[in-house]
Amino acid sequence: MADHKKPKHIAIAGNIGAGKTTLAELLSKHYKWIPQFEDTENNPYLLDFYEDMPRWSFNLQVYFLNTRLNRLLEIQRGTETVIQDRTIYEDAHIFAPNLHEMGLMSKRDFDNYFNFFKTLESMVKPPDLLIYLKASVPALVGQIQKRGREYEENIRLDYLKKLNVLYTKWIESYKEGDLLIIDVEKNNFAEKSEDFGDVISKIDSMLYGLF
Amino acid sequence: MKYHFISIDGNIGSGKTTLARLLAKRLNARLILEKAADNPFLPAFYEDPASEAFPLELFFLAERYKQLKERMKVNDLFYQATIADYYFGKCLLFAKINLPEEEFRLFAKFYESLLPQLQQPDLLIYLHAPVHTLKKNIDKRNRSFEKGISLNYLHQIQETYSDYIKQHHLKTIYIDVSNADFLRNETHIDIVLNAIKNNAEETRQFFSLP
Repeated sequence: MADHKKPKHIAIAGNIGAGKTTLAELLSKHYKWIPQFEDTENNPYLLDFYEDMPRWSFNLQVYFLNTRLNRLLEIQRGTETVIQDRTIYEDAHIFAPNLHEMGLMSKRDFDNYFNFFKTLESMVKPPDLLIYLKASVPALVGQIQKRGREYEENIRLDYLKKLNVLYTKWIESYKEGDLLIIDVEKNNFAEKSEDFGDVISKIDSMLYGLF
Repeated sequence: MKYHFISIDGNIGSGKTTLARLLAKRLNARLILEKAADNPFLPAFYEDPASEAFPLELFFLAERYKQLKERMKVNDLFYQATIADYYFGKCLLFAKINLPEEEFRLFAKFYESLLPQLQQPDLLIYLHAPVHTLKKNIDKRNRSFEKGISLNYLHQIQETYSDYIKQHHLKTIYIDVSNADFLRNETHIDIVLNAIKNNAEETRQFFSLP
């Protein structure tokens, strides 16, 4: 950005296990940005959804959309810079289409959901910078096994694969704002400070025009 | 006329669209009509309200929002005013009737986020008729997807609207349209036109048609 305006909203996108939370924590420490982590557990439709996915997938996704929207509106109203772990775009371009492709959301529900997302999208500004963490499926599996979050252990391989295909498709068509792609197989920011420094200098140059 | 944006609302079959068309013509106003007929959710909804209501209400919310946003954005120099055959607030009223509590709460949050983005009407024309008259009107127009509308449903809508009309803050012309025949009875449309042109101070005015 040439005008050096204070950025308000930085977002991190990426598949399960790509390292979004780790990067959000590191960046929030470095830049004193306020981290905002996703909250998937308080969705009142989660239990219904696990009982009968086709019946409740629409409600589940609409609820997530609402949570995400409110947090975006909060960011827009606030004065602090926020770094967000996972974006509203991933709900609409990755997770909902995946439910549809898996036969868990009807075409009519998906079209309705997506149309609704588009309506809301016109209300919110895209992030000042979107950081996409790119990772192959084997790399994701490695990360997931390493961190051993219990609920993630039975994530199936073909699920990650499907999501990765949707991620690639979405990020290639992302034109809403500035985009920084980090290949987590080439940059190990979590463990190497040198690599993290590389991330920082890229972000600096994109946000503040420093070299 | 001092009004720039007039919304007409009322129960199903109260004659919103007919009146909107006539008023737009007489006042040389831009006309916004709800696209109810091509709504893919209505037939399914009247068949199975319990599981179809939430997608339907969200669909209406998005469509009405988009339509109002797009049509009101255009600053049309030919027209001084705009007349719509619905008021955006009806989204919330119908959601209240049709949705279980949890879904209604979620719906209301979206509604409240969208509402401030829209220009509000400076006049609401509310059409009231007894439920039996409404049912007759609905049967007369014979829209296939409206066959499943029950008297009970119309009653519920009636009550929700009445409560709303009593407590909201929009300037309102309330018209009892029990005898209305806007298409054939010139005096009926004149009564409405005069009410609009009078610019009365009162927030609520009441008229009935002879």
